[in-house]
Amino acid sequence: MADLALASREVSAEWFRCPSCEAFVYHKRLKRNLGVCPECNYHFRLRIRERLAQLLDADSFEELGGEAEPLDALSFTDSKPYAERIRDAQRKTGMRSGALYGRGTIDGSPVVVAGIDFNFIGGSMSGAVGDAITLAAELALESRTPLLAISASGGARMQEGCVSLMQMAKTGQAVGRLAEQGVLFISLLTDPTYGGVSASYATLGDVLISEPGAHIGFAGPSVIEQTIHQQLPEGFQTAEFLVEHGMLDVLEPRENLRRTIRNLLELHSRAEAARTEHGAARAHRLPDTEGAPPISDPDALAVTDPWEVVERARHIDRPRMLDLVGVAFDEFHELRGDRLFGEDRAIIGGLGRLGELAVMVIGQQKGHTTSEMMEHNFGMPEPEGYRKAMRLMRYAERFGLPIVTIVDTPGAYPGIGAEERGQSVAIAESIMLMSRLRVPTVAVVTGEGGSGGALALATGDRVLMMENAYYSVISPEGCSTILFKDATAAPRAAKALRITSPDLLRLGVMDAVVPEPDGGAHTNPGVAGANLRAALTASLAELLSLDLDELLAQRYDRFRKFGAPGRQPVLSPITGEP
Amino acid sequence: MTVTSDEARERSRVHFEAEEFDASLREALSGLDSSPQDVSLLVLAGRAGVEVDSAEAVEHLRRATELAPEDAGAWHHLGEALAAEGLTLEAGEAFRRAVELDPQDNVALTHLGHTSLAAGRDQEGVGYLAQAAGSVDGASTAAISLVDMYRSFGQNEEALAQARRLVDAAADDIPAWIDVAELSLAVGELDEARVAFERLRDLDEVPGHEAYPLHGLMRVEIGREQWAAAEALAVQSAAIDPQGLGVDVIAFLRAQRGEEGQEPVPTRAQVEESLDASLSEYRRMHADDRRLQARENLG
Repeated sequence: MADLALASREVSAEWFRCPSCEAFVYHKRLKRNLGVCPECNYHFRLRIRERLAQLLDADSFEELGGEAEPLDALSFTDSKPYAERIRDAQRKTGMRSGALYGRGTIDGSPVVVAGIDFNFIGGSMSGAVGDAITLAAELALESRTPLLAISASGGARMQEGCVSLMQMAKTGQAVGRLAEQGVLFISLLTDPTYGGVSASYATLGDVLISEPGAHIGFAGPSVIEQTIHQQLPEGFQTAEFLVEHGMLDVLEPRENLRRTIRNLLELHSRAEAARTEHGAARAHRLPDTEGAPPISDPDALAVTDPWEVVERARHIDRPRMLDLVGVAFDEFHELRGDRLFGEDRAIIGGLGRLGELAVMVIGQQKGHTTSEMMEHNFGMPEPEGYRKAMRLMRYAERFGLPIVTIVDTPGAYPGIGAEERGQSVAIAESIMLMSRLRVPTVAVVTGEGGSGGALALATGDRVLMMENAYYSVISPEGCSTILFKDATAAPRAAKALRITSPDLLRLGVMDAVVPEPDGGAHTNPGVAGANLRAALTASLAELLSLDLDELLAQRYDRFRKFGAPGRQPVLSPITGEP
Repeated sequence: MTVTSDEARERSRVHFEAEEFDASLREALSGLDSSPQDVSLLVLAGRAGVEVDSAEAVEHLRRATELAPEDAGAWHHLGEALAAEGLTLEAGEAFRRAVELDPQDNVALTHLGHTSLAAGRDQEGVGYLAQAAGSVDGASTAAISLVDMYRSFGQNEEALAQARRLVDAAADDIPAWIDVAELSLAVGELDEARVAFERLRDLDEVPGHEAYPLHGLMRVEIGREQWAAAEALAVQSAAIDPQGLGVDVIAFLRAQRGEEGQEPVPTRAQVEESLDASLSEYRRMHADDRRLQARENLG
């Protein structure tokens, strides 16, 4: 038998050849390097206990339930009885079922852990494996402790027939209850995760994490390749491929996994603590700020020519979403993907921290250099961007996290593909979702507020703008061409559209303005970020004191008043120019 | 209370054998306080230090080799400590010295082979590994690496000989059976290839892997121009993948038997290339098995 033979080898002499770079690596060096090839970073597969040792605090794992013995419910026999296969696997792996669960801590943060060992019949989903996952989910629910599931599996266990198939439903419903009750579920998908595991609980996590090069999919690649009779794309079914297609939140090298999970747990522990606090207590989580307070009196704002405002809003050095987030928030951890089609880098979202308050931050990102702007599509989101934003808004709602949105877009991307994939629907759904979210929301237009593409992230309880941002139903150039019949009349159109902060305050479109340093935010991004932090803190302090009914009523009324006779402020005509 | 070096050595050794490496290191260090030149204690401190990733492990072992330059064991363990640090060239020199002092140290010889390979001295490394593999019956790390290296050199006969030793020693060693199957196919030992792929069908229980050994068997039967047998396998393969796995192969096989169909018929080279690609993917899927099955990783 392999295990006996292996035991008889000179174990201390073991060297492994990296399947990727073909270097020979001494096993102790490989172990020190967390099972990652030191030459090329190939991530070797890990046994589940090795994985737990890497992720959990030393000696913190308390295994629960013993390991359930797999049931041979079908009394299945092929070339040999299933019961015999189980015994062989048990002898080979030293495990009873190939899955385990228990409690542990990561840097002191408690977590319920469940994991599958790929060496036990390919990590296939038996009733016992499903039970371990389900028991873990039930314990997580009962104790309101985050669940970390670690998967490696080829799919269903054929020898258990429909009993194996039903594990998909059993585990799916168990983690569904976590989602309903706002208990965090982190799913770590490791190489390989396929079939009945990838198509059930493993991809239902609030956060899906994987490692470089991990293979994850529904059907195996050779099956697909022969089915569709075409060459598969490079990296097909790798974690990188899944990120690109919007299916994973986080892709991290193994050395970062523990820290990444710890950060998520810590932020969620803040959210969990805040969950039971009432308004004023929650507001105490907000930081003391040093930035200039927001301005709600339009007459207190400097009068700047609207076209100059447009130019400042578009300035290449103007701080972008990620620049501002870096100053205004104490922490930010990006979560990617719409879980439907793609990862749109025009919209960035993730968990942030403002003082001691965990929040969801979502915004449009442009970048500064040509390559950055291309990566972020010049801040013009595709439907996938809005769908990612909506996914994260629902995430925030599940955990009671206030949402901050950063708006900086010339508009939603108007391409053919965007139309094919429902750009209008995505924007409409985002607006509707934001309007009914059961958590406080603050939107800030920080640069360009381009029409519906901006509003999709700006249907908030409080809508702010930075002093030199603009917000408009159409670009000044577009309006100039269409209504003024003159492409060069954009400055005139900018003035006529009333797109600057004082006018938008007067119209009630904006609630407050974030002051900028003289000359614009680009002259001192640090000050601009600090002022943004102060404005967000002030708005959230107000909103956190409201009960949910009041919050929703006020939000409804906020948008209900626009255009309503007697409620819509009307601006005086512009004088002095045609 | 004063701890004698004898007591410390004995306690350290007992802890080491019980795999209580922290305690073993502690005892060794406490003995070294009073007997800093005790080679046995230095070796124990170094070996235990390697296990707990102590930064001083290499230094303890270096000191041991300085004090006892004829101690083969000290050189052997110094080599392992250096290899664990990734200092492969230095490790190779330590193993070379260990083997010079104790030519029977097959583990050091195996290490020497691998450090030579890591240094790019492939022929030298293979020579040491062949010597090491030849000194033990059955499976060995040296034999496993030799299969890989001979394959890399295109020495399929030599690779197959080593792979056979591995499956003889471990009848359920899947990576070794994959080697035997592929290598025997490559050298035209089609009967042996068929046995090996059949064995893999029985051994490999990972869901999603079922089709690969069938592809190997199809490859064998096509090699023997046994079209009907190959078609029967292709039909089985299609049953695993009802969406059309092997359709092209079936069209090819039917054409070989003189049947005409609607499907475009691929060439034999295309069919063989496709099956070889599948086998290559199969090999990738088991690439990490050896590490997963290593004793230190067993549950």
